[in-house]
Amino acid sequence: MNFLILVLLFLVIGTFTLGGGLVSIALIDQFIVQPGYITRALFETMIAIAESTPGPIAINLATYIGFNEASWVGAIIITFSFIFPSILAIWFIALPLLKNAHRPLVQALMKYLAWTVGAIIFYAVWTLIRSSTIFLNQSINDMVVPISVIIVILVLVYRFPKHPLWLIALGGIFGFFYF
Amino acid sequence: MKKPSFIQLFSTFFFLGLGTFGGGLAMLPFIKKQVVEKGWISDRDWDQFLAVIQITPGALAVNMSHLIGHKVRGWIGGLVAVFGMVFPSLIVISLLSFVFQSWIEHPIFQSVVKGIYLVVIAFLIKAFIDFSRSSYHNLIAWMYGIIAATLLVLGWFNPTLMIVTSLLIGFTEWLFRRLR
Repeated sequence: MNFLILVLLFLVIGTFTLGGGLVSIALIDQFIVQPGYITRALFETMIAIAESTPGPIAINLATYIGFNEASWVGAIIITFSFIFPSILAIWFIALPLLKNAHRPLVQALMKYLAWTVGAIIFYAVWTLIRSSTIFLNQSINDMVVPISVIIVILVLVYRFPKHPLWLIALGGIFGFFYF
Repeated sequence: MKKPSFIQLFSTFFFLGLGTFGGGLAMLPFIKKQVVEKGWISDRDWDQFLAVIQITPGALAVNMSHLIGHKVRGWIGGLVAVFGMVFPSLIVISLLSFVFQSWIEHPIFQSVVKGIYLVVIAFLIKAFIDFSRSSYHNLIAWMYGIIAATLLVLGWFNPTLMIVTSLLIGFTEWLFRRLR
């Protein structure tokens, strides 16, 4: 794919990642996987690696996709394309918001924005579950075990919030035996 | 509040980026422990920053680093913190890409990846639950959220349009209160 298009797409993805880097996964799905720039199998591998390595998942994904496309230079440029909008957003949105947090207009805008971001996070989760190869075009019977595993891990995440690496390892071991 | 040097600032976020797993949401408690213990920012600063980064574009850990760096050492400090946070990912992922390139097609590797993907989905659901707990405090909030989520899932609205709409609603509410 054209590298310049990838840069532009990551500028757009960085701009619309609201509610944290996890939302960017759904946006990368929409802008890069669905048009067929990379395969879904490769994308899911990238997500798994991005989550299993240190650092913010969105940064890891951007670096991985950039490296995949154009080696070291690609990794640096694509990662920078992703964070560039957020650097501007801190200067021109977040800092002014912090300074004017007491104003009624800012409070009204922030209230509805926060309610909307919640819906967007839900939409991101929904998109990623529905479009994954684990659930896409599967019968209900085939979904029972993966869904149960998600629920068990969710309980464990709340029980052991400071040990995400162990849960990732647990997921990997389950995948090794089940899939 | 203490003022760190640029090198201290960079190394603190570099080691946070290198040593914490599970994405930005899992990283936040570790970042908080470091910067509050070091006396760079107060608990109250942290809470304010947290509220604002959730509605600011970008990754949570990156934006949090940026705000903390900016608070202690101005705009250059902000950039130093961001680069400290991002730098380990650039190195680690680029090195791993070499290693994984030859494994990616392997069936065993693919099975493990699918298992980890389920963990990622669980982390995402946690992110949604945690966000909901902090943002939806009353029935109106929940109804607004459910309607917005339904419109997004049905494909009638895309996220961008939804954000613009919410800003217009907020502006209208403010206008009404002023006129009354």
